[in-house]
Amino acid sequence: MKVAVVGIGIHPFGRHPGVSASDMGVQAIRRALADADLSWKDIEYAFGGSLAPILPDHDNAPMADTLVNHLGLTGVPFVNVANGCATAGSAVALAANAIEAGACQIGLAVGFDKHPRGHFAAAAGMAGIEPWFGEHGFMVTTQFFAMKIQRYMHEFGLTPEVLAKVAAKNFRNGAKNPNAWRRTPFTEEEILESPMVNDPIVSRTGLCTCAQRVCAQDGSVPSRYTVLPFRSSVYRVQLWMQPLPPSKSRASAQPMLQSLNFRTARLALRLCTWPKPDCVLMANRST
Amino acid sequence: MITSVQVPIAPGLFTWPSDEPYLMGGLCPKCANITFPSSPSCPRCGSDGVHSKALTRVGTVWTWTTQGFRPKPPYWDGSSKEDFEPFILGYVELENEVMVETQLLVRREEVRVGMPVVLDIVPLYENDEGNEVVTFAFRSRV
Repeated sequence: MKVAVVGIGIHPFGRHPGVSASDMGVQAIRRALADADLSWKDIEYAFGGSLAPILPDHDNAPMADTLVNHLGLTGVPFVNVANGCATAGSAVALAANAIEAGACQIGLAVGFDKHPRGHFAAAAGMAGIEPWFGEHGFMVTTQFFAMKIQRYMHEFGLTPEVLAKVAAKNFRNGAKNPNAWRRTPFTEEEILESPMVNDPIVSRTGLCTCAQRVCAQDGSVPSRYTVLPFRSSVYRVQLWMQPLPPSKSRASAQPMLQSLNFRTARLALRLCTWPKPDCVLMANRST
Repeated sequence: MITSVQVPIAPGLFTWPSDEPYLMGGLCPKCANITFPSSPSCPRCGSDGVHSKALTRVGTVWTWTTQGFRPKPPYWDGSSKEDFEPFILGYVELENEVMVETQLLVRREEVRVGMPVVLDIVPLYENDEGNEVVTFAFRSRV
C-alpha cells in the first residue's frame, strides 16, 4: 500500500496576541483541508498533540482532540499523542500506520502549542524522576542540550564560533520564511555577544528557530502525492530529543552523541519535531 | 547557639551524616550495570533485585554547562530573579561505574571536560522548618 501526503497546512509560528494554540491548530487544519480539496467530514482518523495541557503551568490549555469542537462533531476518532519533542512526528507515523492497516483511507496529523516565555516548567515526575532532581534546578530543557553540545564540541574540536555560524544561517533562513517565529537576522558577532543561557548556548543560539515550513519542505517538492519515507526516521528523531536521565552509563551515552549529528538534525526539522501549528493530511494512494 | 539540623534532600541518595559520605548507587546482580540513584529494576537488562552499592567518591567531569538564569519552580534557592547566582553543573564520570548529573562547585575559568572532582555534601536551601537541606555536589580535586 502506498500512503501519500495529500495536503498540508500551517499557521505562522509564534506567540500571537489574542490567538490561542487551538486557534492556530484549527487554522492549520483548515488550510490543509483546502490544500487537499477535502472537508473535515472526510477525515476518518485523526492524531494530534499539544504539550501545553500536560505541563504544570498551563492549566487551561486544551488537549488536541478538543479541536473537534471547532471543526465539527463528525464522530471522527481523534487520538491525543504525547511523545515529547517527537509528538508531531509520531502523529504523522500513526496516521500513516492507520491508513496502512486499513483503519481509514484518509488520516490527519496535527500539532500545536503556545508556551509562556522561558524554559518549560516540566515536573520531574513526568520523566519518571524523583522531585529532588527538579529542586536542584536540573529540569531545564536548554541545560541538557547544552551538556550534549559541550561534550560534542569536546569530542570533535568544535568552537562557539561554529555554533554561531549555524545560528546565523538559521536566522537568515527564518527572515525569509513568513511562517517562522524569529524573523530578524543576526550576525555571528551579535549571536556570540548575546547573554549566556547555558554554556555554550547563548540566547541567540536560537534553539527554537527551526525552519517552519516543515512539511512544505517534503510536501511541496514531491508535489504533494508522495510515498512517505517517514516511519523509519521518527524513532531516530525521538532518540535525538530524549532528555538525559539523572545518571547514565557510557554505553547509553554513545548512541545519544552519535544521534546528535547534522543528518539527524535535518530529519528532525523535516518531521515537525515539536508540535507546531502544522497539519498533515494523508491518504491511501494505492488505488 | 542555634543548632540547625541538616536534612538530606531525599533518602537513599547518599550516606549522611558521615565523615566520608558516598553516593548510594544500585548494582544489577545479573548484568553488573550500575545506576544512580538506585531503583529496584535494572534499566539496562530489566532484571529486578538490584542491590545497593557504595559509589566511588572521585571522578572526572564528562560534560558541563552553566545555569545562567534562575530555573522555574520547583527549583528554589531563596533568590530573586535579579540576585540569582549562576551555577555550574555537569555529568561526572565515576570510573567503571556510572555518570552522575550534579552541581559542580568549580570556577567557570577552571571547569573543563576531564577535570578531576570529588564528592561533597553541601547546603542547598533552608526548608520551612528552618532546617538546612543538604545535597550532593562535586568539587575540584587536585
